[in-house]
Amino acid sequence: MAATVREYVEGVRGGSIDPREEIPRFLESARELQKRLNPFITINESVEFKTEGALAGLPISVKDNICTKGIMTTAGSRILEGYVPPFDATVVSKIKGEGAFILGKTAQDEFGFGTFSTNCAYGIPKNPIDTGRSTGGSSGGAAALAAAADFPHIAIAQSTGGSITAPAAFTGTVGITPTYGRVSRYGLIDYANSMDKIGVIAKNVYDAALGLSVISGYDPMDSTSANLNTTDFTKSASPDKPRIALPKQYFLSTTDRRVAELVIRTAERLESEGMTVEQVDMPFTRYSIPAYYMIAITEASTNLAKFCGLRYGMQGELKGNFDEYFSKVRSEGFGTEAKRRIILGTYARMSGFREAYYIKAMRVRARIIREFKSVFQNFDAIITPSMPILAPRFSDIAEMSPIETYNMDMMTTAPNMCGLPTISMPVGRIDGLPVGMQLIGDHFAEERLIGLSQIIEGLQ
Amino acid sequence: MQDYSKIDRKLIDHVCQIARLELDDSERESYIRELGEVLAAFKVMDELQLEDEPAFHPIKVENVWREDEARATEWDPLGNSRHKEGRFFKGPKIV
Repeated sequence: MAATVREYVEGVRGGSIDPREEIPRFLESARELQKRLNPFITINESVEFKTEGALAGLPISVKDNICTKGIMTTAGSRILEGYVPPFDATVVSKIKGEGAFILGKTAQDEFGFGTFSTNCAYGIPKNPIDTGRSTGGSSGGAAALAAAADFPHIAIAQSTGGSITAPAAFTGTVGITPTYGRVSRYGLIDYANSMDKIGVIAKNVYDAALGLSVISGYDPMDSTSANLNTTDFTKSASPDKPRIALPKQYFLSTTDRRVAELVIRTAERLESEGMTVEQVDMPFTRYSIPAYYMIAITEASTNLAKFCGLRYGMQGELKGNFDEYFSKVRSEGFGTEAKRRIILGTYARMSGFREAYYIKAMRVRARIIREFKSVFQNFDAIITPSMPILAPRFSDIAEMSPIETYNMDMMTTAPNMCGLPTISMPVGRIDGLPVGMQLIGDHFAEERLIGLSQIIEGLQ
Repeated sequence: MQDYSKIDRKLIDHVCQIARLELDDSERESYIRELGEVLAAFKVMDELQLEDEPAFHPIKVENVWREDEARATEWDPLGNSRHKEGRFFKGPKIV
């Protein structure tokens, strides 16, 4: 029986486990998983670790949009093929500092542009529960690995509009998306600056909380980093009598009724355990998808302007003038969804449209934040399904139009664009496929959410 | 002034010129259709009158200042490029 993360780290620190004996087996298992599920873009064979620290000798995977010194970092895009960062992102420095080693870089939708991890330049990760189905996106490789690894492991993932919650839900893992600013973004390849958050996916709440404890904290290298002390989230406590809100708009818009019913049954169980559970009205929810996408594509189109095929990543032959070279490299390097978002975002930023689209979307976000704040005056957490459907088949995803795909983010866009912390955790299965439940908390209320999710996990 | 409210080939070509993208005919047709569908769906935001609502960041952020001092770098800025000459990047001609 494989050791848990806690058993393994304690064993390494206490001297009863020698990582030098274990790591070759971890790497062999990772190579086998790669053949079956394609969770990696790169497996790191150059292992360095310490036998001290909160993650002593532990293999940690890192989503490919987070810079790792000396290891190729592409953000899942052909335009960054071959880019080897000369520095570590702050989260990578932190996990190395606590003794972990980088197992590899995990597969993702290009720059995070996707709900199903099917917009991938280096192969699509497959769901370990059914390889004909999506892992969810965009941190699909991270979640597939967290679910399938037969060795102790934590995945560092990232979310802009639901990219931790969606894959955690579809693979039956636990995903923590922290409050915007809780974890430094230094070294993260931007998608949308005002919404990007680095978080964690793991097999259980303890492992995810341990990962968050290590990567969170103030960083002067990120001007949006929150000036808070670091916290040991594994010791999080739930409120004595948790008050939970069920927003009816989220349940009414859950496409697969069985998913909504299972989450409601879980909430009823919590009520029977003495928690207060009440339905609430959140009418501004219906505006979250257009507002989220408008902010996301506008910021993304600006961020992606820097990729010109000269200084790093994909590079062509120096033919033609600057505009011709720039356009050729970008047209070859960006995938279909990246181009779609660049075009939409560039259009929305054009003179005469900026106020109608981008500024309007920012105002909608502010209004939705006020709606959340109003609920949190009376409740500790909001509970919704993590996703409106079960993990879909790849053949079904291929039939979806872009707007149908964007609508699948209906549970996750509002809390993500408002910078609120969320946890997705498995609460059962339907037809053998996992169902995720999303807990949403107020800004910087991670401890309350983690404490609550530990109780829920214990009830299962 | 050119009217860009209509989603057509002229608009897509103009946007792609700004964004430095080249499209083939098939891509262009797809994006014309999809851009129209997406923007039509997003029109739901027009229902809201939010002129008094601020357009701010999701959490309170403050400017971070530091002294404008040079810092030594320990990495090679040219290390990821094959287009270089001496201490400089080498690019295509601009004019």
